Amino acid sequence: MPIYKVSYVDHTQPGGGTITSQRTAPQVGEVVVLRSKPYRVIEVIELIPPRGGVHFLHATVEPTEEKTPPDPPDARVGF
Amino acid sequence: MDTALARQCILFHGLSNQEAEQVLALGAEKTYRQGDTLTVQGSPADKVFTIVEGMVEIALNTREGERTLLYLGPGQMVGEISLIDGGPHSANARAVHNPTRVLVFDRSRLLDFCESHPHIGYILMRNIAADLAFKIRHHNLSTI
Repeated sequence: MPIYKVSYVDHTQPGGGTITSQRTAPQVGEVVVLRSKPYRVIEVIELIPPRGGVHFLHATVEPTEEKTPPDPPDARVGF
Repeated sequence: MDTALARQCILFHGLSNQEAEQVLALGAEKTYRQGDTLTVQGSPADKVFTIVEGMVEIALNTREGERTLLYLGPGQMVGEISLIDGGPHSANARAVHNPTRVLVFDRSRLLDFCESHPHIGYILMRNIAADLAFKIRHHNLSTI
């Protein structure tokens, strides 16, 4: 099963973003929950080529009021 | 510790099951509550952490107060800079989720193991270097 190591950055706020590993790749337009707050993914790029089943991605996100479908918080992020 | 879960942490990438078991045996599982401190900037560093569950805030002491550098989620490493260079902890690390579950490795024990098991040691060091490189790329992209 592939693992996606993702660098999330929100350029609208200070704080440096989040790095996490997860089982599915983030998709442009979807809402992800980071630190219990919803963010919309606006861009996803491959940072470096995959190695040994691990994909290395960078996602630019922005805050949104929209809730992600299922709960609990951060269900989408992590193992 | 669930071996399959731990193996999804970057530290274990590229190891066989048997090799991963050997490395896992060196670590201890620890659970932190929200607000608990993993590392203190400037303090002697004798541990390295791999996050299995939860989230850890990495922050720097500045003249204006503490500044958050980034948040690290499952699969990421904390304390790897000190593991490599032998210096004190470079930042404060604090659990921000309940629970935050980590694998803790004693620095000198892990380094001794790498010395005595060079093949596994090479893979571990490569994984740690890759983790550091990813953090640098993340930092570069976050400052654009």
